[in-house]
Amino acid sequence: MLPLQKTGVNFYLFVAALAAIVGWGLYAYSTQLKDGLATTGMRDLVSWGVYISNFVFFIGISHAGTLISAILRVTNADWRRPVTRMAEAITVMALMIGALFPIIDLGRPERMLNLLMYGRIDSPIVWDLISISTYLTGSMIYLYLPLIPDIAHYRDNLQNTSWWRKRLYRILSLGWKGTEEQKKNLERGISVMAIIIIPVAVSVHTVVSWIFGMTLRVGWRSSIFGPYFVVGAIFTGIASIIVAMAAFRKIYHLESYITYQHFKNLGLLLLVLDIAYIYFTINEYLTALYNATDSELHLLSALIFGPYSLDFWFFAVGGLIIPAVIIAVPATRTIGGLVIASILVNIALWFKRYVIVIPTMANPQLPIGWGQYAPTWVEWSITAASIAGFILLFTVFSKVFTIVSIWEVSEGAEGQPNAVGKGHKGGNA
Amino acid sequence: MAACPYNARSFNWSEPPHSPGERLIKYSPEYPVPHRVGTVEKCMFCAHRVSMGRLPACVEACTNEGMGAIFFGDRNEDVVTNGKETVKFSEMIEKRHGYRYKEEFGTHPRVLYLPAGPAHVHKKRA
Amino acid sequence: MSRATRTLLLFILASSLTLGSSQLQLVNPMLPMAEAQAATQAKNLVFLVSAEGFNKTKDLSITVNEGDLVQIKLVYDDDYIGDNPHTIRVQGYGVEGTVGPKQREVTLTFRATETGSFKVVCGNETCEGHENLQGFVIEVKAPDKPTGAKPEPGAPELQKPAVRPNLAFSVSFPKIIRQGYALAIQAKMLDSEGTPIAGFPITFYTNSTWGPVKIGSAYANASGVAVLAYTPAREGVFQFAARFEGAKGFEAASAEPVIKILPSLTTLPDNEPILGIKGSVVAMVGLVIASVWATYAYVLSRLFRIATAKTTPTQHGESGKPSEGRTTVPGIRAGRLEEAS
Repeated sequence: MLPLQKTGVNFYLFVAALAAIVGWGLYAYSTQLKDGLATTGMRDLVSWGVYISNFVFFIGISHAGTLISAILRVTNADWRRPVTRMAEAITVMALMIGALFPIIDLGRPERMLNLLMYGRIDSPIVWDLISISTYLTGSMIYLYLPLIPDIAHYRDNLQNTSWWRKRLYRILSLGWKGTEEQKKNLERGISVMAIIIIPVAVSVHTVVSWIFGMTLRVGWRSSIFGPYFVVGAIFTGIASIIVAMAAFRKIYHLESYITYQHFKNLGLLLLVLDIAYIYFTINEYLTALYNATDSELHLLSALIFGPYSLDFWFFAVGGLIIPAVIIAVPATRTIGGLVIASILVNIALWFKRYVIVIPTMANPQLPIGWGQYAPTWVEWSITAASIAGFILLFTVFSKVFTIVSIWEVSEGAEGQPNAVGKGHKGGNA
Repeated sequence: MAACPYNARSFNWSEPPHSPGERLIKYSPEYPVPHRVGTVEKCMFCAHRVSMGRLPACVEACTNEGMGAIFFGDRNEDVVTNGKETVKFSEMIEKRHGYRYKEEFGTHPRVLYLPAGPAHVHKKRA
Repeated sequence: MSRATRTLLLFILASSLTLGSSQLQLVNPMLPMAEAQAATQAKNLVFLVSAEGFNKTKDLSITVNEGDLVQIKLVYDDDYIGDNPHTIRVQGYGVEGTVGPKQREVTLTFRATETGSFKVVCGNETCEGHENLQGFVIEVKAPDKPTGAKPEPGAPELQKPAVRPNLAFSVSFPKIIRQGYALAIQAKMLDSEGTPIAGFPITFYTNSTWGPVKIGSAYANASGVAVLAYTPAREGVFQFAARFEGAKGFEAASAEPVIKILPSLTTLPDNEPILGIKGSVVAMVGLVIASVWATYAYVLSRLFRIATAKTTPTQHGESGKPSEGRTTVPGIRAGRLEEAS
């Protein structure tokens, strides 16, 4: 509750810094609007650049969230309680940022509504629109439902606070009094959402992968792209939760709620998905290597030895092997180690998306030579702004609502007084 | 753009150059004329000229230069022309071994290529 | 033709040359030989066609005079093999016909207007005995010295006035002609006295967006009838034209009927994508998406019930658990809350 009541100078400085980056990104976007997409590094051959990489990256992170929280809820894993709120928030924030990128990539964003009015159902872009909007709506509901008792709690317990907060809490709490009927309805809603959100989340990243998989391009036309993307999404999602957990734990002193056990559990989950992703990666590249058609080899040699080898090997070693080792070795499986592994995973998987999008675009199917692509300052600025905006949204969210679900944690504590009770003492110490 | 395996589409990354006459044309969604920044274009076989009964600019220019190497026409009608001679499409494709790029993609592109065959060489000598 | 139905085509030629003359498809002349002889004096030849060659030999040579009406009756003679058609073509004249088990006899009729040596070959490269059907040569000789007047009516002397042929579309078409179905276009060439003029190529044209287009040519048979099989690729009004380009002693002639072609009963196959079964696929996917949104609506209805359940706390008696005062979040003890912050 403290973060909701007291705000320090550092917070304002932090927000100001993030806002400045976002502002810079907006300026970059305005130049892009003014002068056209020529301000980016994209050209006819490589017409998808870091914007699309970012899109896949953020949609990936969004899976953190809901999927983890929903699976843990459905399987009734009790240790989830302090983590779910964060995971659900990541989903909504990442989706809101990620969904912006296709719009940023449009040459005529003002015509975006035409996609709704004249879009053809044959187009994977329209599938994307449908699935992402479904997912965003669902994850917002899923974030909101468990918030209601907490909002009621803020409403009833935060006395000396601004008028807008009081008003916001009063409206959003929906008159929650914690009666049996309300509890029953809430539980029902949460459990239904937890189940429905899992197939929706899986479908979203599958559809995102189909944007690539449904084309006739070497390197994209792959039937495993759906599961490959979904596993990658959950992989980066968990990594993002670990980073967020560590950050909030440190800043808001949540050591009593988020314990090493949480990091360890999520770390092991991360290891499992890391191995799954390695498996998919081997599948993807080994079949192409062994088939060894000219076009596949052309692309693969550029990835493995050529101009994209640095990105590729950073992904393979830094994003898959090193994190696996860090987590697998007990000596490095500390909170610090896990955070380093998670950050590595996120950065490396961003490069993985880059390596998916750009080399294939740069490698045309007709013998007309390789395309060239290097992101410009506009693209880098907008990318930086999106990350800053993501953190900013999260920061603001944590100031308006608690980042740990109060009622769920207490509920869990009632069930097993020892579990959280212990953490409590630690927190006080 | 990304989906076309032939890289046949292009994008107006910045304000495209305009000819003086182009500015006078009222914009119609049927034709990519006048050109606009931020839009995708591809060769439409000069649909605006065809609707006026003229051949696409490339066909006309090629024939005017005395080469007549480009034929254009209507597949439903089974007729193509280079402005000088009008021939049956199916017959020409069969006899001159017309082919398409990347037939295996199954996209059935409407651009076919005619190799320089013996029929030519023979004709040239005659 | 509306723009919507127009499919645009473009060809890029690798060289700048124009196309040579079309291959001609000769549809079987229907008339027996006897009738032809009545019309004109002709070289009538009969050959057996089999895998062993023409008349079972590999080398064969005949000589005709320039201006002769040549009628070569080909008789299929492959009895021991299944379907083994031979497409016999007179190179240089372009007249051809196919014999096989289904069509055992065909007559190639043409006027020997060009002198030289012309090979008669089988054009069906996959047939049995193809290599044996390459050695038949027709020599067309120029007439002997002009002093020797040739009494051949088919090839009048230069001094004679040229025959002015009368070309007419003479045969009725089926009443209803639909797009995509073959139709036999026939033209008949007669002289002013009504005698058939046989053995000359008649070229057929039709109209198109880009002007007249040649759709093929056929040789007039003994009764002066040239037949061309033609499959209209579009609907609409067709202007056909038959043209005889003229020859030594014959003037050019042409005829032009108009035929209306009705649209095809079945749409011609185009590149239908695999999602062509669109209705059901879209309906199924739509059902799935709709059920997801219906679930959202259901959850929101629960929210609505939460919001409208306000009255419950006032009815303490009914509620199983009475409200625990100000701190209404279930299970949160006042003391712990502060620590939680």
